[in-house]
Amino acid sequence: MFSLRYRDDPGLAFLQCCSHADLKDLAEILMTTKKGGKRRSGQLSADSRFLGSSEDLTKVWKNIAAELQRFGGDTIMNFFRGGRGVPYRKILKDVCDHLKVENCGGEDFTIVENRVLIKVLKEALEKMSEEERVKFAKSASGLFTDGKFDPARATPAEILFALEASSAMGGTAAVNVAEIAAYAVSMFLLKRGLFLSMGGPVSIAVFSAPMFSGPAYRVTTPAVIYVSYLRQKHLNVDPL
Amino acid sequence: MMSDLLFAIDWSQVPTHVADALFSGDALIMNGVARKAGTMRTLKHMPFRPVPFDPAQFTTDLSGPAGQLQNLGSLGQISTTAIQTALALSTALTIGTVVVSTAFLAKKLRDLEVKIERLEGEVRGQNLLFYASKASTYFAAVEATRELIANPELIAENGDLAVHALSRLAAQRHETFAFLGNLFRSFEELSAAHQALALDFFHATLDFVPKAVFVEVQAAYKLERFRLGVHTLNSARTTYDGCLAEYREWANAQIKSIKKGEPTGAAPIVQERLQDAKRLLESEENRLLLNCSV
Repeated sequence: MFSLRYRDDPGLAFLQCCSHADLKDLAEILMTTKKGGKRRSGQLSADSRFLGSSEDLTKVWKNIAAELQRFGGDTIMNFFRGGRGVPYRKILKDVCDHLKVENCGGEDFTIVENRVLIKVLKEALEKMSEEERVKFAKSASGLFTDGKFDPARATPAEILFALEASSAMGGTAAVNVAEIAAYAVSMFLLKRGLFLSMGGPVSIAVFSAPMFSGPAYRVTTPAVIYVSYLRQKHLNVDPL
Repeated sequence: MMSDLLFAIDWSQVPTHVADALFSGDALIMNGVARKAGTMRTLKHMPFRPVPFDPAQFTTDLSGPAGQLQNLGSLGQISTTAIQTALALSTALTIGTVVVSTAFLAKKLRDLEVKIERLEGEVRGQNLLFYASKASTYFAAVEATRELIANPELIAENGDLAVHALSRLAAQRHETFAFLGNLFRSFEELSAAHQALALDFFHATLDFVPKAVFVEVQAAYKLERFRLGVHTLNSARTTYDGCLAEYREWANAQIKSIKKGEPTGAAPIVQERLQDAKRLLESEENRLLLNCSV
């Protein structure tokens, strides 16, 4: 077996700007199965550099990125690539195809990623009961700037429109939308939520399991959602 | 010559009206004398108390060890703002003494010259070499002036030399600021290895400039050109802050390009040297040297 080998990847290079906590969550998403067990097909959990840097994962961001690249590629093709996986652009495209999300090659990562996030939230909304939807709308009411918004009466279309508008607005509003999806992923896979800046955990009782079906997509789809969230979050922070 | 004693302001001996004037900005310390702002009338020769220090502490960070040497206990009940001003003045004075009277600046200069030599040896970019040569001349002039003002007898005997040095330093400071403003924008034209050298040189030069300005201001004060000193301090601070702001904006844009997934040519080296940039942009010693007249 090859050790984890990162290939230069503009789509994932920003992981070097992420914190230990960000990378820890991403690594856990890559390493953990839906049932909470360790993913047997993964290499990260056995990678000596990764294990030796458990207190500061910023040192091994390339190893974490390499694991995601590897999950994006076919096992046999990865072998012929000397253990290297595929670039993030290809992973994102595959996830878009899987979720039936529009994806023209060469678009900004954020634009495509926002479409993925909205699609995921749309499917979750469609699967919610009315009670769950009201609960969700109440918990995410920070997104809805219109004072007339009534969570108890909001239709799925109105909620979706608000999410799309926030996502398109960019800045903090877009980070909030990305956070909801990332929160849902963490609840679904890690059984624990992320802190949400809008004031508390957003309730997403139903998270579409079929989205994560297929041997590769059950890793790459949540990983792409989480990477999208991290990118949005860090785009809004100037390091200097 | 290295000494194991520095002098810090003895606030217990400063009359209240002088302290109040200093805290409110109605008075400035110039060459160790509190003077009325505007008229430059002498208010008080500032009292100093000797404090032992270990020169080895003053290597890279000056503000930390200098701050530890201050004792404001004698100031009694004053406002938080006044305490901050008193601490800033005392610390700036200690830092300034280290810059002018010890081998600190000479060591900085040697480090810079090493960076310049590496640049000249490896980089073939004409602009960069031109900048490096200009910077080298400026740094040498600063060190020569520092030697002159560090010795009271020398400055008393050679006032004419110091006047000449002042006129030269002002011109070279402006040249240095001009090239610093252009330098980081030319990084994209360089190879990755050369970018690292150029960025290190840029950081080192930006870190050196406040010390150079301090020497220039002190030279003006020693010659009793008080208004010139104050003008130099204010003008240099404005330009330096502008230069830092431009660099901050440019560097943030480079990092943002990485986050967007479209890294510019200089983005990786900016990310790699992010901690150096942070240290420079947040440098307390540079802020004190450019903000406090002592």
